[in-house]
Amino acid sequence: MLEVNNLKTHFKTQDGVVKAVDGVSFSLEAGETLGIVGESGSGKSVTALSIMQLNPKPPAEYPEGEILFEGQDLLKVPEKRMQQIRGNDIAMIFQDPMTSLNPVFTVGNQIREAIRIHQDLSKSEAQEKTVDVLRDVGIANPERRAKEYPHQFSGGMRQRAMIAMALSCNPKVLIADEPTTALDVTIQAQILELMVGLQEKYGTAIVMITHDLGVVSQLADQVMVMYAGRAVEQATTDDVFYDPLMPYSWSLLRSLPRLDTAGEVRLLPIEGTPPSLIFLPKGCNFSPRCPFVKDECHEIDPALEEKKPGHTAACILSVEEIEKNKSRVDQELGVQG
Amino acid sequence: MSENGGANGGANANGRNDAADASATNGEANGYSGEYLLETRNLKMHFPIKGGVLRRTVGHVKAVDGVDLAVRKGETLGLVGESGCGKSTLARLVLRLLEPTEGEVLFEGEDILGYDRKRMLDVRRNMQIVFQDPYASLNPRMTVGNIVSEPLKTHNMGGSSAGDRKRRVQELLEVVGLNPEHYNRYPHEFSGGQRQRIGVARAIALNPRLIICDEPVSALDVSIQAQVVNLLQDLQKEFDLTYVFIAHDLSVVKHISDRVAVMYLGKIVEIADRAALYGEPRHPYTASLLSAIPIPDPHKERERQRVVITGDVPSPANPPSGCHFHTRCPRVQDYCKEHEPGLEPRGDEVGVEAGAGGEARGPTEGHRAACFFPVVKGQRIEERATTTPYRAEEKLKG
Repeated sequence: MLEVNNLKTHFKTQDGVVKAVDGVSFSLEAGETLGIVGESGSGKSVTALSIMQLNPKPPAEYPEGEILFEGQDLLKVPEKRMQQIRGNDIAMIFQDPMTSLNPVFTVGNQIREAIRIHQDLSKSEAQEKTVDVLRDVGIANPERRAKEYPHQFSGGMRQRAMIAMALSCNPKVLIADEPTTALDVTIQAQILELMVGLQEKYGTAIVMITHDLGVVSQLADQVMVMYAGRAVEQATTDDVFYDPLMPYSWSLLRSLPRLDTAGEVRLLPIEGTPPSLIFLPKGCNFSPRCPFVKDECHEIDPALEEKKPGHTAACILSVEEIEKNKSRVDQELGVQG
Repeated sequence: MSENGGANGGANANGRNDAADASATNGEANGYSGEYLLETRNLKMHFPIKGGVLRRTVGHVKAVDGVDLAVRKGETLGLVGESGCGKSTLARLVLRLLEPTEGEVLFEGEDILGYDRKRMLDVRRNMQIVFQDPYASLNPRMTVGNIVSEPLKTHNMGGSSAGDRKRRVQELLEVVGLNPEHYNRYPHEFSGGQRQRIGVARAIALNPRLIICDEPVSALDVSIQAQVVNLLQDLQKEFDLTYVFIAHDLSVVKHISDRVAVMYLGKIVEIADRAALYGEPRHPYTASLLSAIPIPDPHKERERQRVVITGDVPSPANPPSGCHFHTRCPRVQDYCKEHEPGLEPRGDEVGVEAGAGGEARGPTEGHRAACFFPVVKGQRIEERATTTPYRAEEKLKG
């Protein structure tokens, strides 16, 4: 349904070209969830905004790649057509529910507007639909709540309202950019449960962008790990979590304090900081921080290659070398089995 | 202790009695057993809400509402809760950055709330804080050297000459893993993780005994979090530090803490050793919080039974009657709506409780929860308890 091929999103700045997204490919079927994981600045959000064609041009440029949605390349469709697709076929939820609603209009007003842009409904029909979608996302008293302003909503309710707005036109693809990062865990659990329920009901394909590996393991079927604008590992969720083949994904998992293990194990810090996207290191982008690094890594820039069936990773080490390194570092950290 | 509030009129007296017990066993006049570095007794912070033309006080936000805590020397006490539960206010009260409405803060057995500026300065030397936001907590116009040496200057430490002080600062930078040569750089030249290291260097500059870490890693990227967590653990070992570690991330708290206290609407609802709290949570809030956290393990995630607690945290200006958690509690019964539970079993009875571990010691030892129908191990959280409310009859008698 959605297919992204070798997407490159570059920003021309005074200091040089920022390669925010540099050759990312993935595909997504109806009812499926793709988790995109990475740290801040890894290009997750820019990927999402590229699909929505919401990156300001200039400075954004798409020197290569295509984004195929039901056969049409979103990078080439005229803005008029894009406006029809955006919101109607592909919808997006943003991270910050505090700033993504307009404070001077009622919540109902804003949802109704979204509905009326895309669907040929009268005002009262749109109002009815607004109340329906608000009820759908679990907001009590939807008639009354629709007349309230965003500041009268709590954080969790605002995010529910954003989801209601995104789902009001039954989109085929929902892009959720860190939808629960600003929320407390109990509220996060509510929102995630809601999203899963709605996905089952409407068969929406979801792109879940997050830095929280726990959220990904809960929701995603496929995972793409991003680092410095590139996809560095792509596989099913189980493969990425139980058998990561890119040292970065593995280190991330080892750097997390875990609720399910004793907490006696020392965390593996990933030394240093993510590289500047203008001055990328020579060779592999992760080589300056990699715990498995060898000399060649500073020379060869690894491409994403299939290491095991359906499991791609960008690393010049062989699977055996990676496994050996994993157990070596695990021993140092005191990880059992 | 005094969590009992309305349900137990003798709350305050109880708190005092426990302290007296503790001092009796240790035979020290001021109640300082030497075991606890920091204690709070019935600590309250009620912020007034002003309203109307005359700006009259129309109500209070009970940010911290009767907290008893005791932090042992050398331990890390984790403090968790959702936003708005009063964690950060509690941290500020302990440091006297805010003046509490009521209660006591004991540092090394002495109530510091009555101290004047000069004596407070001495105490502050021993209690420092690391703030959440590494971007806002460092003055952008000061060099790193100046930021870290400022506490040294204020307290006339680190040598008399500027050269001595510079050497001390460079030593500190090295301890926290920064390049001492970067002495003259400004905060904006550092990344988030490095800035947090600067904050840590400033906090340990005076060799304090206690460091309050207020969400020290929540603003950092996952890969950087581990660096700072490891640094804090190393420093604790090296300098024999005591931490109060505040965070909303229960996994980080589990990793670093010896004991953990859970806060909800200004009160502590459960406190226990790490293993007990995470392994056998008694309060339904703790249990639900734990079940809400996604685990980075797909198989475990699929098998987990998640209890999603509904609704939002109520306003601390107008908390619900009875148990504050009853509006969201999956095990709520009518009794909970009318009566307010205290932290049970009380400190002087902890030793009596089977499996609570250890003899009766201080006011907040053992595993204690503020719930009439605590979750029993093996029971599902939403399962309705058929027992009579915990300690209800005794309360009625009392």
